[in-house]
Amino acid sequence: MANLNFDPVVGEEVRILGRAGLFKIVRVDRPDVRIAPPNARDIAAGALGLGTVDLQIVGSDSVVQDVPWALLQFDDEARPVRRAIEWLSTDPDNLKHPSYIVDYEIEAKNDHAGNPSIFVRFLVDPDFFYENGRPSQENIDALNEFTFEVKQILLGLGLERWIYVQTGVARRTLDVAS
Amino acid sequence: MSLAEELLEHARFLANLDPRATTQANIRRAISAAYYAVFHLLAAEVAAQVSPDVPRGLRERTQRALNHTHMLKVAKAFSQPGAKRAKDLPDDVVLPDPISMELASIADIFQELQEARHTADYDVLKQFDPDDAVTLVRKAERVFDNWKTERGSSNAPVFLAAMTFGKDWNR
Repeated sequence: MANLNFDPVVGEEVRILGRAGLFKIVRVDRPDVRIAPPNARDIAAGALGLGTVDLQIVGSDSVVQDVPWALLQFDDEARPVRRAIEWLSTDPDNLKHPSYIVDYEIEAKNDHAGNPSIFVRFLVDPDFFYENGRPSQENIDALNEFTFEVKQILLGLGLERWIYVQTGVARRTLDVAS
Repeated sequence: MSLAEELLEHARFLANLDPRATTQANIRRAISAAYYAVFHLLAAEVAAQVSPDVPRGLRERTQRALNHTHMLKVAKAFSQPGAKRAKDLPDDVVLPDPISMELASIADIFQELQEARHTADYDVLKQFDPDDAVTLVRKAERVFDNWKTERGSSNAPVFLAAMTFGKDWNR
């Protein structure tokens, strides 16, 4: 998982440890030296390395400068998964990202048994996934293989939440102008 | 043909109906049957491992003792290939070998199918596509294939025993 990182990015909304309010990241200073490759559990705990960010208070023009990454808290529990899926969509080595996957959805919620979970749903374009009106066995197997590999990568993040990786068909909105 | 195989066949039939003419009911029943095919495959193996087949009906009664939610937790515990211990099971539960890709796949698909089955049976807001059924039935078929390889492994008896008794191993 080289190049997968959980660095804060401009635009993300965060909270600061020990301080009330919601902030938006407006600038990121990356560290020259990292303590260690962060894992997702550390991210949740706020330990992100030695960088700093400038934060704008949401709903105000006030900016708080040079806040250490270690003080940042992200409300989005699916964030590590979101970042990993974004990384995957760049088609890193050794993982074939099927071209017929055109979108994905990520949602944090409980599964049917009440386990806090994160659901990832990859959406396929039927035009590329189908052959003669139906998906071929080969494409289905490739898709299932892909979702299994993604699941393994996400399990490797060491999150407390259960992970589900599902598939679905991308629904198109009708272009009424054409 | 075993009940598990019959259910898989039924799931296959429903999933492969003409996608232009099929119904939500067909798709949902296909997904449900795919899950139960896998459930009964594993349940029968569990019962065969822990219960004699005489007197008649004893083994079948043993299957009734299985709990879906507990099996889900065990499946999660076995879903990482290469792991040398099953996560969330007591530390002294020793796996003879690292978890194989086949067993991890079985465990992973069991979780995905159980969740999908629950949605298919109870979430009336969800709109399923015919592909959902085809993809999930294919996953169920994968479990049957992988189990043929895995059932003779050193880890299989631990996996099956955990499905039945794992919840009491922390006592």
